[in-house]
Amino acid sequence: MEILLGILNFISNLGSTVMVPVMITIVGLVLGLDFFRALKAGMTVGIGLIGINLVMNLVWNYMTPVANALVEIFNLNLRYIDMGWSYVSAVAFSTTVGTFVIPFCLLINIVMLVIKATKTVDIDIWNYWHCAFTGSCVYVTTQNYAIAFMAAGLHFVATLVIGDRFAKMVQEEMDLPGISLPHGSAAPALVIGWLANKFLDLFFKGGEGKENKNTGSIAANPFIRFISDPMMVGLILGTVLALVVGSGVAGSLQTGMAMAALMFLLPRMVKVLMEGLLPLSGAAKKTMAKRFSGQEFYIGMDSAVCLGHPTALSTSLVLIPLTLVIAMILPGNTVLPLGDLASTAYYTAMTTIPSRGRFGRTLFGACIVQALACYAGTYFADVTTAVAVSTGLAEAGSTISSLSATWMDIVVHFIARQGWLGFGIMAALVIALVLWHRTWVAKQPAVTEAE
Amino acid sequence: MKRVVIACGSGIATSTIMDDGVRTFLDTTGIKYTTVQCNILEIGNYVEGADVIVSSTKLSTDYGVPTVTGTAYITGIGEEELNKKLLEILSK
Repeated sequence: MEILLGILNFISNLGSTVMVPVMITIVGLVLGLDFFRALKAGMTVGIGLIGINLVMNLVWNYMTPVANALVEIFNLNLRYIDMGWSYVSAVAFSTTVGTFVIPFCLLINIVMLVIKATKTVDIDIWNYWHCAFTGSCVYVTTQNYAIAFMAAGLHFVATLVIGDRFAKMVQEEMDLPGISLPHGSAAPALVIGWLANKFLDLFFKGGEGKENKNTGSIAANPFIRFISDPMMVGLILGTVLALVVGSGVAGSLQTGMAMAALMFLLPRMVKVLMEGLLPLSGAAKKTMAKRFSGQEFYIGMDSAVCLGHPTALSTSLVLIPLTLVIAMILPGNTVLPLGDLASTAYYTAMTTIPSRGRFGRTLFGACIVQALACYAGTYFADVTTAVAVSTGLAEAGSTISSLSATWMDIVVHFIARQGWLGFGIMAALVIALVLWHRTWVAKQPAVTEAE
Repeated sequence: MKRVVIACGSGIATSTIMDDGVRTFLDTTGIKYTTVQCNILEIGNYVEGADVIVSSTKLSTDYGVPTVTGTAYITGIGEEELNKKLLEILSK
């Protein structure tokens, strides 16, 4: 144990731009890549991290002063800048816990499949970052690897269970046979959307099938095309906020351009990181497909497969300005939405499903999801910043967060931070979830019989 | 030169896998091509001059360009049919 901890500490002291490539290379070798491909994968991920670092200077130089001025002048307490899920995923993958998350979660998935506690083969290894995020936050809070991995594990198990339970609904509404969404932001949003619908059912009846079919015209609207472009969102928000705090025309336009650059460049840098993970995802897919194929399994995918739904698209556009309003009026919120304004469709797609495509219900559910995201961002603000600083992807003293954390992250982190008591509760929850879900899995008819 | 637009939720994650699938296949065909990744809302900004759209999801908007769903590159199920469809569209 001592030696293991010593190795972990040595590795994490190398700094994320060295540590992550080393770890990814090892994971690649374990998954059966040859040395050259594994090394290239690891280095590509590291290069992505360096790229993210370069781009983040835009935030420190331009956006932090504006956010601070907003706090001072208007007493508007939005001092944490929402960096968006892409940045947070990079941060989550570049901690010591995060680099182990891919093999760790794959292993959990395999064990759950073997003991018939899930039907989902989750090949969407990118989105293991949600578990990496929870685990990394827990590690920063507790400084304990065992508790951190237990938290990541609980998060993953819960996501698989939710993915399974909602699979039928997702498949029917989105016409995606054989798919489930064991996705860190999709699963909690599905639950919220479902609860929101249960609530609305108390007051309203009917309306199924009244879908919004005219996204074609909405998407073609020049104004909508303008505000749905992340670059434009950055320009408008940057310029307007800088003007509001009195930066002058030239200074405001510079801030606007810097934010446009951020919205444009940051995802591209994260894409480099994703490219590095590509061979790993291929290898994982092969490993999983060898053992678990056939019709009785669902394939776990990213919620991106649902975004084309007309209701999801049209509500996501309406949700962009609404999120800003929510962030401003929500008591106690400290997160200034920016990066995740480009990802509203991920949430509306999830609330579309339990709403069966009804516009108003979808939007209602999505607003609740965003409000919870604001609170999760507020809850995790200091922790997210601390994790980011520990990986070298943020400067000490910066104030960043995101709207990508969910109520599930809060629950897991809250339990975990109770220390070993939390560890015990989490272990019990994992066992309880597995046992409870196993009886459900056992009752599911084999797909071939059902059809 | 054929132009392939590859779209998912963010233009970052899922589309990167599909992009890899498209490239891996098209490299074996000898077709000259370029790909561009974007998010689904942005397709309208990238669609000019495109020969095919590969999307992570069924699209509700008709952009006047042949469109295929590229999830087979992620799941590995139906990859050959998808390759065939892509070849058919791009050979025209």
